[in-house]
Amino acid sequence: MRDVAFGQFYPADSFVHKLDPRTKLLASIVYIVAVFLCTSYYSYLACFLFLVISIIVSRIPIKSVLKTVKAVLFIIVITVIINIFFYSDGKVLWSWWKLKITDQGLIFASKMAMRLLFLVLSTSLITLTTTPMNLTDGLESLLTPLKWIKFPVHDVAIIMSIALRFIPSFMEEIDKIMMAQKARGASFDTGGLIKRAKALLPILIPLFVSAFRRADELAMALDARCYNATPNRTKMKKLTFTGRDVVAWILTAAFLAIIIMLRTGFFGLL
Amino acid sequence: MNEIIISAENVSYTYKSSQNETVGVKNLSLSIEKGSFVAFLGHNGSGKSTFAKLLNGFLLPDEGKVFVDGTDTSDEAKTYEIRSKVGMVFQNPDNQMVASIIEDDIAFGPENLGVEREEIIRRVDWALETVKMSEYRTRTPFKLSGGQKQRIAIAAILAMMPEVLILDESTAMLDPEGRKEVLDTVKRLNKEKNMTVILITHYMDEALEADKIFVFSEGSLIKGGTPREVFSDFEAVEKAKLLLPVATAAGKALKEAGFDIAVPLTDEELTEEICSLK
Amino acid sequence: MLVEVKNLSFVYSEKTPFEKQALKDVSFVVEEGQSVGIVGATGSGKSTLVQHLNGLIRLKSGKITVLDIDLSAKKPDLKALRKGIGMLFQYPEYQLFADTVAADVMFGPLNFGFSKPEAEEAARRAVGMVGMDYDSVKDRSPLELSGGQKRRIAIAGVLAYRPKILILDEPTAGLDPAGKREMLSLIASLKGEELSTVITVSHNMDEIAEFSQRVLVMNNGTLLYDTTPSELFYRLNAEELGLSLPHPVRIVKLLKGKNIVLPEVLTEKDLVAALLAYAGGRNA
Repeated sequence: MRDVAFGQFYPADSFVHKLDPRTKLLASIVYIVAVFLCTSYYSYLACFLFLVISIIVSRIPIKSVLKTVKAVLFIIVITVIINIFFYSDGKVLWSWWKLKITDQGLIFASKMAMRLLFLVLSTSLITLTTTPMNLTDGLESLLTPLKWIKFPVHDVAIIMSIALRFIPSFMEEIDKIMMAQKARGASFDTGGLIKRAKALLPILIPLFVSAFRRADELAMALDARCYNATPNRTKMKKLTFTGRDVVAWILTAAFLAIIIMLRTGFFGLL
Repeated sequence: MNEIIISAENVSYTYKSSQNETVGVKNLSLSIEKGSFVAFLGHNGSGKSTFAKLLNGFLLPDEGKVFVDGTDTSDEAKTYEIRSKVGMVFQNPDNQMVASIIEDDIAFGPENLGVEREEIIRRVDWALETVKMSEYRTRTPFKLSGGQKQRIAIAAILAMMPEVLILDESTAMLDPEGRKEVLDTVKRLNKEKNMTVILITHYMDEALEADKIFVFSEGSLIKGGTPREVFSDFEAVEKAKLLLPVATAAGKALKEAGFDIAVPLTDEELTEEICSLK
Repeated sequence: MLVEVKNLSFVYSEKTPFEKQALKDVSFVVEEGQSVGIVGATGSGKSTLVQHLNGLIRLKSGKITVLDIDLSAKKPDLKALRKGIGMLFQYPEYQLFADTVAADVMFGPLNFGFSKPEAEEAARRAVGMVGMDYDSVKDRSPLELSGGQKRRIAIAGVLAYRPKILILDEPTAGLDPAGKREMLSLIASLKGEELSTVITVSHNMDEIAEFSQRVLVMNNGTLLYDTTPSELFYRLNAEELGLSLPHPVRIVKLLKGKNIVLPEVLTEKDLVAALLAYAGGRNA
């Protein structure tokens, strides 16, 4: 239950960790766009290299990074299988009933798999190198222009921060409730689907009750801390770009330029 | 006499829901001196927590008035001023933190009040130092003990520079060590920073540390006075369903058996009394 | 022997940076009919220890036998184990979930194979044992009861399947003084009726002194002492271990410093009797 690796901060002292969260968020958007602009194998190779270098620079053990893929491996595998069997163009290599495998299908599926893999790895690199609080601050700052259309940017940021803050508390709570019900003879891993779903009620209901109890106290605690006292809220931590961020921007821009050049066949013109 | 920081005049409050009405407090008057350490005692549902929520404007009285430093709590323009003046710490330390990093959590109050950035940093430093948690500044609160978490919750309130600190059963969920940490912290705040402290508790030992105790029962104030005055009034203690401290109960038994003894509050006082028995 | 623990050790999050040795070579035996208190600072291993006793934590190293069920077996009969050793966690009212009191109290018995009528009968008995009237509460939602009542119902939910051993973790936590007193007299009344053995985990030394014939003192994951309350508070270094002395013990010790020697009492009642005897006997 507690082994949710996806989205967990991995503390380390690295170039990537020290980047402004806005830089990381924007760079990951650029990277995702670039991945979708990829056509040739060279461009996939470029994406792969950019990712690998980022991971090495971030000083996060490769094992921890790969762990995040495990959570979505199933989705990737399914996508690949569907693409292999239902892609109809190209030379048929093997067929049976309505299913066939074509050379183009194989190529397409492998590209798809790479795209998904790059997406997952790049986003988890962000969450692995940025504290939730920092990430929220970065998002809030990037979304600031939306204030003009009366979008409650700050409230959304607070909601995110509180949600992140309470995840460990709820994990602990689930653990406790499960133990208490197990002690009363409940079992959660036997019987059919319906029986199992029903067996979850003794956990879910106390969990909801506790969530409401917590929400009640949290609401009072927010009031006690004068939440919404003034529209001119201040911030203790100011996000500031440094030379590091400039380096990161240049590298990201260069990467995007290479991908675009590969796509337009610029290198072929050379 | 000292300056009065909070005064309640004939305050009543009733909880209303579609089905029924429950009396929170009725026709209650009391005043609290600036810089004093007071304790509220009473059984569950005695009205002590309701009354506390009337003091910082969380609830507004149906009848009567509450004044904080001369300001009427029902003045809507002053709501936040009153909340920042009368800070409140709650029971469960886990439910009071909004951020995953301690310094961010402490900055939250002053940020909401629009305090300047440099000033917020100064306040966070000061608040953490005051509760002796400075070295935890950039950590997450999850691995802390209950007592440490509650000290962080106190620091988060202190950063708003309140005049009054209310602890609403803030020691109830802590182990003895955590209770001691929290109690020592508020006692120090009271002595050294002249902070007015209102301690709501079920522990008689904690209430004995206060300058003054107010005893609540059925929404009314049934006794107010020094710990000695309160615990010598056996009838009031009985009525409020409180427990006598062990030393007091023993002294009471001796007195009732005809021995000439002044009612003791602490183990040490009882010992003195026994030694001086003629 | 109801419970036998031999060389029990346990490490949390083994082989990770968060690794923590929670229990180290703990051995003890609990005989039928005993009231055992388990004390120690937060993090000393008390909770990990009792969670082992009813199989909520899988035994990794050492040997535990509870009610003749060997927990080191490959597949111990956990149902039988948990039926025999009831466990009440801190704030047990937080486990209530059913829409009626009756359904909640019957949850345990039904899980342990009671028939519907048997479970209903068991619920009626158990609710009565915790001092509430079954017929007037059985159809109410447990969530609308008062705090003290909720806790009683949670206790009934465990008593209903008639465990031989009851483990209580901080049974009076969060209650007001009147609620505490009621809870303590409830626990006292339970023992004897049919529950022969009660194990209480508590931070409150006054409660331990009042109820336990025997105390296990946990310190940094080891079982430091297996002794009696009077030995612990009068002879051993309870205070150094962060265990506050019960008030009656403090008073007797203070008086001893003034050369007034009283019997080594543990409870308020015995203290009062000792003081009256002393005060009355001085002139004789």
